[in-house]
Amino acid sequence: MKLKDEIRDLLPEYLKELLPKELKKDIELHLKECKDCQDELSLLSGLLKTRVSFPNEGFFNTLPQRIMASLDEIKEPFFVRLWAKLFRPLPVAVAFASLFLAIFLFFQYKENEPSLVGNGLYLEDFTGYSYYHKLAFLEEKELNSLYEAIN
Amino acid sequence: MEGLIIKYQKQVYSIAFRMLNNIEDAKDMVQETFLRAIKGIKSFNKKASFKTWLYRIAINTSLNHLKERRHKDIGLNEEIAESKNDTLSEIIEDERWKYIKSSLERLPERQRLALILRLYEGLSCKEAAEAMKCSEGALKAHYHQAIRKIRGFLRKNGYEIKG
Repeated sequence: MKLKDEIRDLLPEYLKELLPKELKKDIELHLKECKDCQDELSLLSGLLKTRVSFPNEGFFNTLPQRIMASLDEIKEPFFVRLWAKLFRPLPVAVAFASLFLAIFLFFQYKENEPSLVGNGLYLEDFTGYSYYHKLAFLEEKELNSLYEAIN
Repeated sequence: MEGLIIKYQKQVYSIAFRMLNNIEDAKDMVQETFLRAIKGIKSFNKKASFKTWLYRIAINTSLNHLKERRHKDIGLNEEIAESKNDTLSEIIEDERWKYIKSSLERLPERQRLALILRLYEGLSCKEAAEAMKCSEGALKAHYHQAIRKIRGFLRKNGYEIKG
């Protein structure tokens, strides 16, 4: 047998016949003995008799269309929506971060690239070979004149 | 979405009407509730049922309406369904239910909501508590206080409810 408070909590479900058979029997047994619960049940069934004044059916028939129409009205202009779609903060931030990282790495590489210019050597007639490659084929005389030209 | 509107429009209207007690306000509230639901559909957490989530929006919307109404100091416009009964006992009975209805209107908002969700909308304690964003214990307390107040109001006005 359930406690009185538990029974009172279940009275709305009992009135609407939403309870399983056994629970319903328990409540009916309790109601036979408990005057308070009988009164409460009577009050609840009285409350249930209060009616809702519905508008005419036309209101409900056209409600979905009206709601969809007002949604269209309050929609933002096409370009604003496109901008919001394309330029969401996170993807844009990731794209910019990647771009900056790529630029930074490019300059880092450029700075550390082995070059004769960085070492004080400069050849005007560079023909496509690497500087080192070209230096390797220079005669001693040529090397000496290069050294003098540099200094 | 249209299907969901068709499915729940009358339930949302019932809550709106019982809270606002005015057909025009209730109509506005139904529309506003669905607009808010559509706009905020991304925030719908699938842990709760759609019905409970929608009811929560309806509750918030109706509370906002009540706040605005209080602000504008507009009195309640009673919309009691007209009685076609003729016999004296039926008229007395009808008067009695009018009293019950007006006692419902005098309840504080949270208590009225608890009663509407539990009794009229048939929500379980858990669902009603979720819709009202409170604990089950608080929901039950609001509900029982509502019943006690209605009974007290009816007694005060000479209407004894007996089983």
